[in-house]
Amino acid sequence: MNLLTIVCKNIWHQKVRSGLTILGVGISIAAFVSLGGLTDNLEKALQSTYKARGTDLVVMEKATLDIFSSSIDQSYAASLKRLPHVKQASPILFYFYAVEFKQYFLLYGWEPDSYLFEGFKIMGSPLQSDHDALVGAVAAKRLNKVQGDKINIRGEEFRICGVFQSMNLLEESGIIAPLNTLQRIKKTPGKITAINLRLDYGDSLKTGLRQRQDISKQVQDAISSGFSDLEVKDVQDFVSTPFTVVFSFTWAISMVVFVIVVMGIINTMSTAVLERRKEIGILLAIGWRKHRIVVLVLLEAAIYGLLGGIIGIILGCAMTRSLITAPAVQGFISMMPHNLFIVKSLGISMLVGIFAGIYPAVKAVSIEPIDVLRYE
Amino acid sequence: MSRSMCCAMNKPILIEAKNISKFYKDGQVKAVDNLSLQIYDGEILAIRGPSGSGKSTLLHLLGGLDSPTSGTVFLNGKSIQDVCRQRGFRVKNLGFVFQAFYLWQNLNVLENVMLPLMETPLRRKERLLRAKEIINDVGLTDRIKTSVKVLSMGQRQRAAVARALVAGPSVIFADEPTGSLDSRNAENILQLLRRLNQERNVTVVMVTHENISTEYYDRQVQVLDGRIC
Repeated sequence: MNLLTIVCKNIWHQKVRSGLTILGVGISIAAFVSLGGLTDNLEKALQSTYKARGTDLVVMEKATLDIFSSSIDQSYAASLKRLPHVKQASPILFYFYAVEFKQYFLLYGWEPDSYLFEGFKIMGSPLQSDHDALVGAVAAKRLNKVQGDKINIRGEEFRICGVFQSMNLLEESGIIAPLNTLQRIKKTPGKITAINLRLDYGDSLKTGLRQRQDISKQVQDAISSGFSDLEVKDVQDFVSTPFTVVFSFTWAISMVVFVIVVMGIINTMSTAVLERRKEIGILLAIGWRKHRIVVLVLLEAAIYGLLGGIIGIILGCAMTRSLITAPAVQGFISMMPHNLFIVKSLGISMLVGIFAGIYPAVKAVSIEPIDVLRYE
Repeated sequence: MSRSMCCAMNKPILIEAKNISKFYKDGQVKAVDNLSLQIYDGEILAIRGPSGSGKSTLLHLLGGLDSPTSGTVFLNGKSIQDVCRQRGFRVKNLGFVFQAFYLWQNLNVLENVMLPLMETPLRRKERLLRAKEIINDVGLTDRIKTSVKVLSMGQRQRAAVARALVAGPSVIFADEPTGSLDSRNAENILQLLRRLNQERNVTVVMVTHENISTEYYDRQVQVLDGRIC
């Protein structure tokens, strides 16, 4: 027998109370997992997509709140391409728009020869004419369209020249059309959202991380000093920026969630300590050291956190799964929380449990055996 | 300090209380009043007295559970308050049996008996062996995996005695050990304590307000108003 046996039996013998506590912790952790997991995953997926495609820097309009508010001249692409170490500059335009007059999709305007198409698996042919459109696999499914079908975008008819799969579900839920055509439709000729830059690092095998960072810095400095109305960000910053507000929200909600978890466990453990006052007093009387009592209480609180965390993760993943299959958000929310996030959530849940156990543990060791015996 | 010898008992003194007092409410209540007592190694001492006479307080003081307002209790010549602060001392040297048993309700007999051993450096296998041996000794082998909740009162007190003895203490303090039992079970517990006292040479200090047969103790002291009379 060890402390864990005692703890497990304590939890098991108070099934209703323990069950409700674990469920309470579980629901709270589920909210954290589903919210935090989605934003965390989406950011990581976007970063990996950009990096895999070889985009090093993203240039957008200076001082805009987010990428969707950015609008810059397309002519900057040519100017930026002439900068030292810039290998390729690909202008992009994107915005949300109702396709077929009903569902909203992310529309991408790309140049037909853009390097951004690298890594795409296209079933059909690439963009060839002004009214060709490449439809992502998820978007095609939502629209119930296949290669050769027609789609209506802002009153103009486009032929689906191909259906593509990329490295990112957000892209696969969008539609790519020639940049010039989308500019005309949006009535913003010559205007783009951003420019993706791919840098030239020379012999990539010989170039170390430090040198790559130096080159990237040089290009960023050149853009900052030479183009006053442009803002340049490396991919990591670019992807993280729009998520900052979301992360803040997520953390604020998580804090509320953790407070609820802490309160729940404190309540349960304090009641348990009060109920076992005599037993704890007797353990101290027969010679148990106080630190062992502390470990006993903290272990029980940690188990509540752990079990609640496991239930929370299962619930959270189930909630995410039902969310990502909902028609209204299909394609925009893509992935289940990844393993590292799940492990983190479990760790946080246990730590919160231990934290919540501190107060009841202090109460437990403040019990004097003689007080228990005297009043019996 | 070397053990003092008692001529009358021809046994060494194990515990000695010297002029101990325990007052409550700023001295208005004198639970134990300037009391001196010697307890000899291997004896069963019955401390008797009516309710409120201070006998339980005296037991708590002798067992180091409470500290006297004045005076000192010595165990083997050392202040019990000092030695009880040493790690593992209480588990290895002192056993307690209470009227209300105070068993851990969620655990079975074996687990309850093993509780004191968790404070010892013994290996798991050895702990198990010791616990099983003492459970056998108190006659609960057939109830070893039974939850203490479903035991009879007599069986619960046997389990409590086993828990008190498992770490091999030199003295057991029993506070009204038969107080919650019917006469047959009370008799059984007293017989058990006597047998364990003889077989294991354990000193037993037993508080009781009941009349018990002289065969179950070696010596008795009568306490009234916090004093031995």
